Amino acid sequence: MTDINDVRSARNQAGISRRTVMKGAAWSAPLLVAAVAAPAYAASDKVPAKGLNGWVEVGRSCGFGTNTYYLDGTKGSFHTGGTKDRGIWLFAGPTAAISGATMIVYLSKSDLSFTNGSGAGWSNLVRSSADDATKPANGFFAYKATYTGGWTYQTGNFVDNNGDPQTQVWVANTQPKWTDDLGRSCDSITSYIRRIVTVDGTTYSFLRGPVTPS
Amino acid sequence: MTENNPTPDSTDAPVTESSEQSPAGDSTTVQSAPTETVVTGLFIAQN
Repeated sequence: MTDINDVRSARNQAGISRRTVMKGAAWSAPLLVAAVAAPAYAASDKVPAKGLNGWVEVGRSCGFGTNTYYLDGTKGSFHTGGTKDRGIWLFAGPTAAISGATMIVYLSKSDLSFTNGSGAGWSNLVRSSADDATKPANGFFAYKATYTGGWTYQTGNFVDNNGDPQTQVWVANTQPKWTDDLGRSCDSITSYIRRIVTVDGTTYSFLRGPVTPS
Repeated sequence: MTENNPTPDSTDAPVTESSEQSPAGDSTTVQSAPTETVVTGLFIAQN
């Protein structure tokens, strides 16, 4: 059985967390202002509790020596599962068998070449034209990465990506981080992420996006 | 009438002098060339 949910417009739901824009001041220190909005998902857009919950920072850094675009789950850690946490996790009982963790990232550019700065178990995020067939919209190109590392079980008072309470969580032992050198352009890039994982024989999948760092 | 030719020649002379000031002209050309808009910043979202 496969659960597939599309969670669109994550930018509006989860919020653009921080922003710094300066014109003509190449070496000025960035000013970061936190402004994370609470998620407000429609009922039909539920993220499966056993799906790959979690948050990665999607960013574009321009003018600080090297222009880069990145997806980074290491800028923070799991605490309760809220939108300020970073990383990948899922909510399941203590005997859960987890496998096939996969992230398909659909980007608005087809020629990105990422460097893998992830922890052990994460593959690099590489172009996967075979997955273009599942792109959420025209003008997007699939990139894929998998996680084969371990998971750590915890109990407590948590919240899933829908904002619903959870008490049992498995957190990936390491987190993803992929960086692309944009060269001189530092073009804006929009992304969707489809997250897939199998828990106790059931595959859970959901799509979230579009997200454009701004 | 032929004797009047030197006058127009002398009028042309400043044009020649202007050409000799090409280094200054080059500088003007650089300033008027299209310039890139330099946007520096860290743009962040989450997914």
